[in-house]
Amino acid sequence: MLLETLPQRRRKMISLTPLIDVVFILLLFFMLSSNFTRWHQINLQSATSSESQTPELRILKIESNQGELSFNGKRLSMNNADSIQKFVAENTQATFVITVVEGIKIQVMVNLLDQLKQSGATRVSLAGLAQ
Amino acid sequence: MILKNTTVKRTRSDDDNLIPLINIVFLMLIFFIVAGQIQPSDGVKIDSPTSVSDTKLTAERLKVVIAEDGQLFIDGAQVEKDAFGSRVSAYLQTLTPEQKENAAVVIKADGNLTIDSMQDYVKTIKTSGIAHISLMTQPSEQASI
Repeated sequence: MLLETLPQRRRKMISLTPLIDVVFILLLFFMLSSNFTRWHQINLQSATSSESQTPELRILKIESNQGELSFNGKRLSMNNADSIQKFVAENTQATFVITVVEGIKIQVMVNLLDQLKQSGATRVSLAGLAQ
Repeated sequence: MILKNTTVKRTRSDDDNLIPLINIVFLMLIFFIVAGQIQPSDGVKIDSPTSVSDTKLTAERLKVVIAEDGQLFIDGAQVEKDAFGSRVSAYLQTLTPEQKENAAVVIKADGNLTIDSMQDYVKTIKTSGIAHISLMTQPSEQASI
């Protein structure tokens, strides 16, 4: 009789179901509230000191959300990666200033910024709306 | 004697079935705790611009959320456009003089927002004296693959 009660007592002590309940609730909470996006940033402030050292300013203007650009009246396109690469290769040390006309989306400007940097431009600054 | 033996076996096998389950659940729990970050919600859905930029996000900063329709959110609460300037200076006042020099504002704007509607906010931040202004981006799918 004594032997028989022993395993029963042990069974009561273990009782795992409430533990699993709590762990599942914790799991659900962390699954639903976790965020796996790795955020990065682009600095918007203009480099004031380095601008005076570089004589050449290349002011690119984004003309449309489809990626049309203009540089000193010359037409370029963001969709044509080769032309952008050629344009940057003319002077990679120049400061590339990105200006936009009204209605340009942020994504388009960021895309151009990436493209210029990937083509080898070292100094890119965002000037916002063209005056 | 036989009876006792069977009861012991049954209770044991019950727990034995649960333990691998708990192992896996604990493993998943630890994975989500360690790998995931819990962030306060922005108050609105934002589709941030994708970029190959690899600059890490500034840790100490004021986060300004601008939705696609131009609505402004700070700390999950909507802020009127006119009240933005006072909100930024209020943030500056909470900082010590040393912190003020390194004060940073991160703008989390929707990728479809136009630049002209964002520029007013950037100007307001600049005039308040904060030099470090940045735009929050997410890694593009091309870059992550």
